[in-house]
Amino acid sequence: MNSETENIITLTDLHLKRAGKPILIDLSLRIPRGKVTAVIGPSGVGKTTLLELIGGRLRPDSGYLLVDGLSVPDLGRRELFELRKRMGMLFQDGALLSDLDVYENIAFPLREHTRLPEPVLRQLILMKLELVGLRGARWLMPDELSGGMIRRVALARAIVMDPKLVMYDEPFTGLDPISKAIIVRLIKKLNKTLAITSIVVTHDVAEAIQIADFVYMLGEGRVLASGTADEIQNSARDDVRQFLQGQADGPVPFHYAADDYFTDLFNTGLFNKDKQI
Amino acid sequence: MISTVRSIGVFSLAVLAASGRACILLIQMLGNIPASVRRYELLVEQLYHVGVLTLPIIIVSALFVGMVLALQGYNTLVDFDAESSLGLLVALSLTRELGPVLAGLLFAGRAGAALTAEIGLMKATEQLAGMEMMAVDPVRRVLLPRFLAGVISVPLLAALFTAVGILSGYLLGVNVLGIDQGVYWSAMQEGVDFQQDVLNGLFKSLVFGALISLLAVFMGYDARPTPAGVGTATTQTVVLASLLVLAVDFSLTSIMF
Repeated sequence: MNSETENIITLTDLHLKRAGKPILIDLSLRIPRGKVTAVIGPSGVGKTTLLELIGGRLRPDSGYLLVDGLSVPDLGRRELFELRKRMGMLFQDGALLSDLDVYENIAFPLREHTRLPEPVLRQLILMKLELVGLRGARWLMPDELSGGMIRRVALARAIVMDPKLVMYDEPFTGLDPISKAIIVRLIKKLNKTLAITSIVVTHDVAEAIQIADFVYMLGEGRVLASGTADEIQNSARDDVRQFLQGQADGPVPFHYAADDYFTDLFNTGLFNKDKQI
Repeated sequence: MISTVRSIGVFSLAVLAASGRACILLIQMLGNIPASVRRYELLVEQLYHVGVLTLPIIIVSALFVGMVLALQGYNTLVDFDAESSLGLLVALSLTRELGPVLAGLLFAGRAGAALTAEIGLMKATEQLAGMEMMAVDPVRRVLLPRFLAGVISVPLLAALFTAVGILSGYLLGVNVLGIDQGVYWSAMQEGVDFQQDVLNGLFKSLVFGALISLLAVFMGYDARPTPAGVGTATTQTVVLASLLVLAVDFSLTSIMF
């Protein structure tokens, strides 16, 4: 098997700057087909940006990005939309359409892209709702759902077009333990039963390690460590250990970069008004 | 001094850049019109939200405006023994100016603000991003039906405003002020020209409809995705749309009449 059929996504030396600040620096990684890959790392290291790049919502400054054999940055609008039909994405807040009920939210991609007769549409939707356990909630509006339910509905919507790849952006954030366990179970189950590739971007280490076949840890715009869950957990790197064990200070500093504290503190402007900030 | 000049420059550049983005959005929307014909039900739904729901405010305002026009017109005309021209005065003011302008202003306040807030909020809650990731173009699915609904609604609302205003002027003029009803209508029939007055008035309202709707959808789409950003965008839509209607009305009037 060559690497293209083995890996659904290949990133090589990807570089991205935003507002003059480098977000990703020479990032290279591969997402194996049919597996659950977790991308972990502290907030603000470009994990969500990575998903936006894969989905073609952002263009890298340089580097190669292949998804299912297609170079995403070079795709035209129509080709990109065709590719996105084969992708599902679960946004952090669900991104459900607030003026449609659960049923219509899930029907949305089908109504936009297919001309299936209503009975077929109904069966497809009910099957997906049954998968996420919310068949009984189909007439509820998004504002009547709990955080966990919103994410399950969004998940049903993400898989309704039977995508090859599903991207999860912080699927566990802000959920109670039961809802977290449900989402963990669903990601595993969907990956297996629907034979999809899953990318889970998260900073919830415990959940990520529980479900991932392969883990990438990002930091400072690069891959700090990669391997199976066990390999990551046994990593000897200080920055990886700091993150996994949740230590407040370490290689990732507690303080945001700033001038010397005392100089800053006594820079009252009483003596030199020009220099006060 | 330098900083003042600089801030004027920064402001002008920002306005120019925003106008450029609005033009690109307009071109994108126009290019999507053929593809959106298949989904005409989206347009019908927006015609209801944008047009039909604006009807009450248009009709009630037109009732009052027509009556005020008749009252003020009568009080002035009667001094010159010219009260027979009341019908003409009411009709001309409404068809040429007040109908299109007031309907435009009311539309900007009622529907324009709602459109900006709705689209801005959809952006802030990632609903538009979600659509993009589902391979659905938000410009075609969300913005275009709302824009077209505005372009279609405003001329109809303006025509209705004019008609209701003329009728309420009639009710007050004939029933309360005692003007002969035949005189009211015949003065209008003689003095109002279909092409010169009625069509030009309708054309004006079409231009206002396009301007307000473009501004409203653009402001929502371009809003910063925060609560404050959506609030500012909504206010700006109403303020800018109102000013634009008045300024463009002056330009059109000076060309047409």
